[in-house]
Amino acid sequence: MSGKKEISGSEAISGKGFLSQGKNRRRDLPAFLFRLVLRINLYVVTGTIAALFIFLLIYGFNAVSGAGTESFLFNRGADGKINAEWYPTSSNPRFSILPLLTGTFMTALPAVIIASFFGIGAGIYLSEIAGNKTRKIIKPVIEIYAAIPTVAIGFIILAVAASFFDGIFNPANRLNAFLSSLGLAIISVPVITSITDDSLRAVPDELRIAGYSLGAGKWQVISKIVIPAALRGISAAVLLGFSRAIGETMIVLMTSGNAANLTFNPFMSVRTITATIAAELGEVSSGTIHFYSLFFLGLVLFVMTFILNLTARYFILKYTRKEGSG
Amino acid sequence: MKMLSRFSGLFAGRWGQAYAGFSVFILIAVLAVLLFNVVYNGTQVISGSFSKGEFFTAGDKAGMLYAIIGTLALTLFTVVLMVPSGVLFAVYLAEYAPDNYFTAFLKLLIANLAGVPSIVLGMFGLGFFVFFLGDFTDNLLGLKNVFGKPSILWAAVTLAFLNLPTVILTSYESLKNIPESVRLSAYSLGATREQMFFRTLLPQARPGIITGIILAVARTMGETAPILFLGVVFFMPEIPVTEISFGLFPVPLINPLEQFMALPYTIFILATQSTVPGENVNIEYMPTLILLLLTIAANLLAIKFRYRYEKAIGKLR
Repeated sequence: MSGKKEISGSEAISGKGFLSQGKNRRRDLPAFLFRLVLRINLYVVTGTIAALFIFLLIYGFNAVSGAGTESFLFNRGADGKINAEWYPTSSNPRFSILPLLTGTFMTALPAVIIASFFGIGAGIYLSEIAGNKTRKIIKPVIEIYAAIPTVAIGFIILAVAASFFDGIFNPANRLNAFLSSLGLAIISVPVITSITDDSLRAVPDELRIAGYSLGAGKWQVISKIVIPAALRGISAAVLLGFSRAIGETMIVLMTSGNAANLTFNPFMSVRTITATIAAELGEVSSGTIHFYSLFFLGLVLFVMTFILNLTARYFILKYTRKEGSG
Repeated sequence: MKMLSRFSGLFAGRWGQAYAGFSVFILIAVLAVLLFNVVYNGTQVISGSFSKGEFFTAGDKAGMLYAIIGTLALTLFTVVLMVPSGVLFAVYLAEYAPDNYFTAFLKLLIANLAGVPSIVLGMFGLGFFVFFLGDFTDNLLGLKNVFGKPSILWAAVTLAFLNLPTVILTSYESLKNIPESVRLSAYSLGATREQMFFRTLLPQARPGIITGIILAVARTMGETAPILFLGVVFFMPEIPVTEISFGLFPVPLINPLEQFMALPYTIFILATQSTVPGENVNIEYMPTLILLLLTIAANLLAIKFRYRYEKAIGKLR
């Protein structure tokens, strides 16, 4: 491109002439090698990401062509009745993903409700109420939530909370969806808190000052001006928290009871998509319908989280743009 | 009527602020109870096992040493793979990538990769890295079942891929946050693009990049789901050590093509498949405490680096 002439600073910043400066190549071999490494790395990483997508699509397609789409929803039991069951290893294997879907939602939905209640409150506190010093202490403390390995959370729920709630609610199963949602709430909270905090802080101060100058009280400014202005960001926070909750494996594997019940009772054992993959992929023989159906489950999970994340990204993009123009 | 609405506003104000404060209080209280429970029970179990001399003996007697070594080795392999790749990718995105749709698409892809469930990446690790790349390497070298089986190598490759977005996004942000004037002044002094990058941008962005790496390390140590089918085992009679010769002297290294033990998996098995429930319920606190200390220490370190970075960037502005 710009073979003979030296590139200017602004040209360099705008990214012209990458790898293609004949003069530089001869004079500055280390720089050329550095750019070459950058480029190779770019291809390797992008290629691996592309492989992930292609891989999931191929394996998911294999599952559908092997078992047929409708058999992933409803199937015929031994007594001939039409039902929806996940019994992949029985002599009459049944691959309905419906109980796994309801299991995923029965654990993730209560979790995100609990986590949103506390997470949004904490986000409001951090952004609007806490002073600078308090904020500097509390923000890292809440970030520790994200540092705890999920297997440790699963273990604590199992060791402490299971017996505690067994005594209070006397649930149908000792390990149930509700217990899992407590654990999932713990991992969604830091996501929801930090994104709520970010989006509230992105609201320009002029709006707050205008509110105060009209005689509004602190909470009136927060609830009538700041929160509505940051609503997109807060929605994104909840969506990302939900996506985090449905993608989590260890907590649900350890505490949900792992029985594929098609139920809406939060105190019954359920089996989620993630736990099914984790429990069965290690033991299944490759190439069978069961094997591919697990990858189909992975594809379903991937698509769900991808849509949630994309929607959340879209909301976040909107509020950062608003901030830029305002 | 006016009076009433004013009163209700005041009332709502109190309740609203109380709700926000209450949320923070509950979150901190839950965290405190959780940590206290692990630390209190964990220290008791660990001191007990030390006095009985069981801490370092491997196997079902809850020896933690091999699991710790396994986790550290896995983390080391992951870091070696993840850091160069992630940082270079971020450098490309921040400094070299043209401002076009493909670059925007790449950024979107990375941001979404960060949200892919870890279990899905574990499946990808098994199906693509082990069964495809591993078998391919075996065929290429004329070997049988050397690369094409779950091992610490493929677990590390998968975890590196899993943590790539964390490293890329933090490195990218810390490069992008450096004001444009810094770049321009380096150019105005006659620096080439690489001189500008290595001598002005990188030193200033370094604490920010390190923050991302440490966060990724913390996540690597605690990640369980993706390694479940990538060669993690509950018990090994001995650590597989291989000697790699670098010309003059052989260097002992943990064999990357063997299975491995890891702390999070030890917790999982002890917590869910204990044969003697009454006896084992306490032993699980031992790996849990060790793992928690490792990950929280890493996170505190990351916070320290982030403050250093924010200070440095604040001075530039």
